[in-house]
Amino acid sequence: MSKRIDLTSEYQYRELQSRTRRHFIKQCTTGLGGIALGSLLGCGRSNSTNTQADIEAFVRKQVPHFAPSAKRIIYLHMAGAPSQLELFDYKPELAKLDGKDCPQSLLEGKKFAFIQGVPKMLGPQAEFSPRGNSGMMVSDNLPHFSSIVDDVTLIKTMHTDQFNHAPAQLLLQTGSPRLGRPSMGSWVTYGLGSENEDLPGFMVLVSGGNTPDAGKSVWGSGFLPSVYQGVQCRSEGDPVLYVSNPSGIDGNLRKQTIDAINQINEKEYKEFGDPETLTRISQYEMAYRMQTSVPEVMDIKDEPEYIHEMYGTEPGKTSFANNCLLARRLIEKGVRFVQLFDWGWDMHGVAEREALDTGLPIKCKPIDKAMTALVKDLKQRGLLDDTLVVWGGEFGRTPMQENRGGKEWPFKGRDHHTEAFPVWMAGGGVKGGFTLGETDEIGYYGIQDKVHVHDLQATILHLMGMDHEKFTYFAQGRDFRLTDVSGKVVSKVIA
Amino acid sequence: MEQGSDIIIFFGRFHPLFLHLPIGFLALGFLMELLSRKDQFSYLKPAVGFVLALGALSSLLTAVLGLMLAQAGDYGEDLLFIHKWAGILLVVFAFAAWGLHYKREKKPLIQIQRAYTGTLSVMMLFLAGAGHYGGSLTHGSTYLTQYMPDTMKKLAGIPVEEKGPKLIENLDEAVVYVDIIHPIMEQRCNSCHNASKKKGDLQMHTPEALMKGGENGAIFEPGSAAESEMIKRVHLEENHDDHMPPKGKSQLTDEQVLLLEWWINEGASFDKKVAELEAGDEVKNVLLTLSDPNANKSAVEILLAEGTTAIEEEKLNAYVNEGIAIKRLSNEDNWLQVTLYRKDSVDAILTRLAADFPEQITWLDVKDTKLSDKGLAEVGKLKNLTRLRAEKTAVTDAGLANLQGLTYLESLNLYGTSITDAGLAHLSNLPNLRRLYAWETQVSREGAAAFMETSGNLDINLGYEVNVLDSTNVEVKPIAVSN
Repeated sequence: MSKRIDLTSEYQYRELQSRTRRHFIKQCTTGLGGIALGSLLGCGRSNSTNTQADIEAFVRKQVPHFAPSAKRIIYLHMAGAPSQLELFDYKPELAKLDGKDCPQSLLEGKKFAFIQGVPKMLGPQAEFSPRGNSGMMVSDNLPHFSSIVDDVTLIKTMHTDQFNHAPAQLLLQTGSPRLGRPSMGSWVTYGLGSENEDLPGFMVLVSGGNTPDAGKSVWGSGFLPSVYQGVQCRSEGDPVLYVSNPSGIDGNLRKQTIDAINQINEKEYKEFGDPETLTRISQYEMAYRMQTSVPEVMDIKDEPEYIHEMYGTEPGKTSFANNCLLARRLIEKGVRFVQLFDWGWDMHGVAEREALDTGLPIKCKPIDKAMTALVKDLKQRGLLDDTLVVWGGEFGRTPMQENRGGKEWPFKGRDHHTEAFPVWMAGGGVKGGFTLGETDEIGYYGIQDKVHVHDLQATILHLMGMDHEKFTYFAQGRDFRLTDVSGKVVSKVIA
Repeated sequence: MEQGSDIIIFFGRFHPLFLHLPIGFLALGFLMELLSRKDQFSYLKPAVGFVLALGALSSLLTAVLGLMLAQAGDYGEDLLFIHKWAGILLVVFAFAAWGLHYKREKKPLIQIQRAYTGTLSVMMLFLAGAGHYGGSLTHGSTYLTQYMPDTMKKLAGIPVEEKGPKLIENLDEAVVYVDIIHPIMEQRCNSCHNASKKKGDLQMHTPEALMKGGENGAIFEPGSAAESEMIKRVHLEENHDDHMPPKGKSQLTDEQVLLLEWWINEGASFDKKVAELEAGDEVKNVLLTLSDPNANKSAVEILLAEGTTAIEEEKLNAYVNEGIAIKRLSNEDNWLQVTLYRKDSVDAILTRLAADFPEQITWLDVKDTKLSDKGLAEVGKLKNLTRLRAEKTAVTDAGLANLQGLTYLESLNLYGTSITDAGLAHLSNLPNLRRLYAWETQVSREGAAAFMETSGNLDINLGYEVNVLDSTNVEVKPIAVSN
């Protein structure tokens, strides 16, 4: 009955006995992970023996669909949505309606965040004049910007689907009003890679005292590998949290630690083949290199005095001006996408700070100076030719005065408005001194050349050499695009 | 044709659905009849009658629905006439075939057998004819042959059209409607609004038809594009039901819309020449492209669009494996962009690159590197270079002499170098140079101004002057004003 077995067979027998479902699942993930890595590396061959080199080679090979006119992007997002009627959209007719009841036709079928009943119309709270050779109408709130209008394309007829900050910011930055999609910066770095091995391809700088309402998902990588997520830098203290060595640990020990962790991770990767492990390895390497590269690029003290005067920067502080200067320094180093958020534009008129006639000019002053300095500084360095600067909020504001709670407020503010808001772009192959689109007499609707948020995204990708309809990522069973299922390149703004 | 009532048209629109049934049944019946004459397929025989019956009945239903659809009047008379009668005769022959088949089963006479086979064959001819002309009604008569290979077209005796839009030789003498507007409509509108198919009761293939308009009246208002129905519809959102051309069909380009608007705004004349109409700059630029597609492009744009010679992939990969940032400008051509860094031995790498890719490298970024005048001599060999970033390097006036042969150089960044006015002289023969960055150099305001005067389209950037006005206000003015 009992059969004699030799040693080898006995070993095999015991090995088989010890196999459990857990082993099976483990090995399955190796297979699946390998397939996933194949798609991550953009080729059918995955070589787990030299993972780091694979990642770097992939990053360097990323090539656009067609020749780009912009290689880098600085996106200045004014979180809260600045009022177009006090900055870029000159509406003398609205002044005549100031204080009158809003006609019913403008309210029917509309949803507002705060307006109730019948609000009063609110005339423009700023003076406008034609600026530059192009005669672009810009308000007195932006005296510096008025000197660069001939380098700028102004789109007056942006429109969006979302009337609350967080979903509107998500729609603008990720193409969907709900959480979970990769942001524009992630898409761009996924498609084009970084030009600097020592810095992340997508960096984020936040000012104004608050992160955007949609939180950090507006620079998240969604279903893309997390190596493409935006890295937030602070202009105060450690620029990137925990990037410097803990006390008592010197650079050598740190390097040894990271090497050891990476060796373990590489073993882990060979066993499980999860591409997120690769991300982890490359992030450790990157973090180590960032220990020198980041403090160097983030230290603005070595900038000459006139540059500080131009931007209005003060080293060691958190400000939009500092972030603008940092953006230029990051772009110079080859960072692909620099995303700035400045909080505090949501002027409902429920406090003095939020009043369009008093609060807005104060808010505008440093922003105007810094954003203008950024464009000029990029220009004198020859960077504006292939760097696209985009400025705008997530929606616009109503031509009606806000009447939160159905009562009149002592301060002049406006409610959220999705139908018409401005975005300006400079450099990167867009026209200079050009205004696209026209709104109606009170700036309520775009009446010519309307540009949806998805159209703007399609245009930005186009300028970077990407066809937004072909630029897809397979996740959760289907291909995804930044522009979802719509979006049309606005060819009129391209020089 | 008089307008039928809505309910008739409603049923009529099922015609395109049901027509597939008789095609399938009758073709199947025919095939089964042929096959069943062989022994190995004789088992099909009993079913032939049933299939022919289905075919005959469904062809009758389809024909009735087709007559109802014809009430809508969307279709050209001539083709409709052929299709209608081919369809009616198909029904007649289908019933005849069915009947003869029945008779043959009862009395297998040789005459009946022959009449049956003949009827069946003629029925198939009408089936093919009705199907083909029906397709022509829906898709246009050139649908089938549009993408036929040219050699096949010649064999079939179909005229071979030249690829791409025909270029206009003498723009001023061109008749706006005949040479510009009509070809646009042929390309974008006339597949549904032509002699044989008139969607919305509108034809657009002749001036008379255009002026007649469609079921909603005139389609354009001479003198006012904004008031013209066809232009209004072009500008509707693509998802709008009234948008033209309908979603899914190829859309008008921005340039084509501009030309249509211009033609209508200028009175929508059918015989005026281009020179006789007023045209703004935007329209003029588009018109120029009709006689020369490259009219508004710079020499550099034309060069980049033409492309360059193929790249040896092994050579390219060798550089990539070395860690040198070299890659294609895009996936659709062979142009290369190269970025070198401070860690790279720039001069040596440039020597190799100039030997390996002298024609392909068009963007070179060697900013803030150990580039010397010697390296610049290698750069001078990259004959199709259009953008050079050499800012913050040790290059001097003497080195710039090496760039004289870079005919296509468009953008040159030398800020933060030690070049002077004397160095600019070496650049005076670069015909395509448009942007020169010379901030933080020894180049003087006067030197730059004098140089800009000699070369028409060049813009020299000398940076900005920063004047502090008070604690919060500064004035930032450009040092050199571009011309």
